[in-house]
Amino acid sequence: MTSADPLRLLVLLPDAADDPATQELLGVLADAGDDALAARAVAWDGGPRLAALRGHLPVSVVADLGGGPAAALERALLRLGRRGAGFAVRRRRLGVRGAIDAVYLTSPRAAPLLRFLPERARPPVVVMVPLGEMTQAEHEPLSDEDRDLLLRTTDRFVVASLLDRLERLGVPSDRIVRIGAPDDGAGAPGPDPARLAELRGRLAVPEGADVLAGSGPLVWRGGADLFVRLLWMLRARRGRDVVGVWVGADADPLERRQLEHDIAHMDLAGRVHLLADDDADALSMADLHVVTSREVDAPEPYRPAAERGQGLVGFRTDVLDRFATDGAGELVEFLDLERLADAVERLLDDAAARTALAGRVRARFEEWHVPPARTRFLLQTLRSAR
Amino acid sequence: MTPARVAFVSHNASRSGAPLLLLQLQRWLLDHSDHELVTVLLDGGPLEADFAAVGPVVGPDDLAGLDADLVYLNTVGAAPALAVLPDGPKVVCHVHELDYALTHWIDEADRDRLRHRVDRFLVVSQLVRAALERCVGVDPGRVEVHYGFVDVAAVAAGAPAPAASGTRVIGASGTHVIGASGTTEWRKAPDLFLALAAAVERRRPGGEYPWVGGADRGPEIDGVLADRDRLGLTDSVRFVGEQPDARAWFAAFDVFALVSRDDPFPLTVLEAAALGVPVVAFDSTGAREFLADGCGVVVPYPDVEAMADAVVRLLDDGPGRAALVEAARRRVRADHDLGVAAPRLQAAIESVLAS
Repeated sequence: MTSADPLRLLVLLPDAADDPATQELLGVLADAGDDALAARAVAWDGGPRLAALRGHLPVSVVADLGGGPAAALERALLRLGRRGAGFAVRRRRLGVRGAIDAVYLTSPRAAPLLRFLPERARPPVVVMVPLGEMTQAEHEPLSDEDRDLLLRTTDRFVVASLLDRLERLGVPSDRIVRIGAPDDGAGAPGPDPARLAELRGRLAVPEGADVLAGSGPLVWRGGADLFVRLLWMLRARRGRDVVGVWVGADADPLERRQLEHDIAHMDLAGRVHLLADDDADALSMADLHVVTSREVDAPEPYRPAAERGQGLVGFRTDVLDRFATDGAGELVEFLDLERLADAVERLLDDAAARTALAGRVRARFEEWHVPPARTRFLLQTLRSAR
Repeated sequence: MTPARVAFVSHNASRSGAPLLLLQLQRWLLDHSDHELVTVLLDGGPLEADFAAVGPVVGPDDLAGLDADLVYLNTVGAAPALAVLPDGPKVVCHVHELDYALTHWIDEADRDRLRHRVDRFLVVSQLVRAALERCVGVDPGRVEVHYGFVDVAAVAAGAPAPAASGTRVIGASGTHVIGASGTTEWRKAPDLFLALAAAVERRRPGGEYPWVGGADRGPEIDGVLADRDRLGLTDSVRFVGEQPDARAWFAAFDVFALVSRDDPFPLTVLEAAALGVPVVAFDSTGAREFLADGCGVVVPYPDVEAMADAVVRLLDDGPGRAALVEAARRRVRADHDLGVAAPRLQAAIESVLAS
């Protein structure tokens, strides 16, 4: 198979429910196009999106195999992890025979269907773990047999939530591919110059001052306290004329009060602005986007920078570390504000490095989140799964 | 002085600075005056029995009918009592609060009552005086500074054994111990203590960092504990909660770190000084007034790196450390001992009674 040949894909899905797993598949099918993909699918159950799926590819449903006792027994045996007398017939009728380049599970919940795959010369198996699926899996776990089957059979787990801990299930890290959930906000147009001028005037940003942006909730996990301390460090200890804008200060009145106290006592009044989401345009004023969040799931920590074509600096958290592989972000050790200030200063003093960094951030974001680049990345993962 | 009936209003009976100071003052007055003492507790706490041992204790429902010549509000947190107090008694307010509390813990009606109903404000530091003028608009002529105090002899009595936690004894392995103490609320900044520990570890690995008092788990401290674990400092930075004898812990500290963002005049600093433990603090606290002139090290808030440098200097500089410890010990005995400070407070109360 060359990269120009359509990928012969067998899709296994738990059902055609209107949920993230089905939506994910529909998005991939829409973006891939017929030239790239020759797919067929098997679902354990039907559901409200079955017709939509059948608009893109043939879908066999195990539950539709017939209502006779043999079919019922076959389904029961499959649920129990065994193959009954009619297995070969079912397999043929489901259409899982023939040339297959890769098998794609839309969710770990489709694991029982892996029993339909040939045991010899099995094609590579890639499992998508949609956002929230692992949390759900912890509450409604797969049977031990299905979990073993999933772990034994799967060549790549593609994980949409970067906070998921597949390692906890015993999956080696080299079998995990990080990607993000689809993001329709990518490439949002920036504010017009008049709006930016209005914001600069309202916030009294001095001519020539560098601007750093941060965003997120004001509560502990958002790390706004660390952003304020970073600004203090840059201004008071290093003498830089720098202004900070933090967007996301709509709620959390207690934390806001505490931050305002700190801002006043660090002599940062008028230099650090806590803004509501309505003023998100202020993020576009920034020379750099700084991520001080402690634990916020993707894509929130890096989306603002990627959307605005800005460089990204932050702490080495799970989410950012995975995103910033190959230079798509300048990261320092967690909570090390001194090194963070070093990185910020270095980039503020080097416009070319800043621009190059912004380009890498944008490229990674598109690869992970923006259809159709995200779909291309998925197809590439499927092609190279083994 | 003719004996008077003095009612002390405390916002609660917690084992924290202001209620502890009040208890010491009441015990002093019991021994050194004929005044009749009543305590009004707006809320409860572990010191209730100690207050009851001094004199009658009543609750907020008794405020309206309070029979007293002078009402002594022990903090501005007791200011809501002014709304129901009868008109007759003189009022003194002992202020242990800075901007944050003066702005957010009481409302404008309370601030208005403080301005108009209180005859004399006794404040625990110059920093508090400035905050009271700035945030409440109090006339400076009605404000007197009365620094906090401890019973130095009682604090320093005996040689407390090194504190133990679990199976470990703090500092027993010869490592440096940088300690802190207080509640674990935001104002006391356990987050900055963690940042300090990380900064000291970068300079001098292998230290122990106990925080005595406050919560050892729960929502107030969970975020800091999570940060601590991610920094790999789980074994060295420990929040040990309330301890029956904090002195035993303090005595094991090589350096006492006051990392508070906002602290009017912490008594823990006086206790550390009485025990011969050098203190580093941020300049955002009233402790800077005690630590001035070589009695401790003060760094700008929130310069954790500068504080870590100061800690390491104190660990390394034997003679400098000894001089600082001695200066602090002299100052706490001269100016902040119960026997020195309580008579001044008594005089202030009696001058208001006589006015």
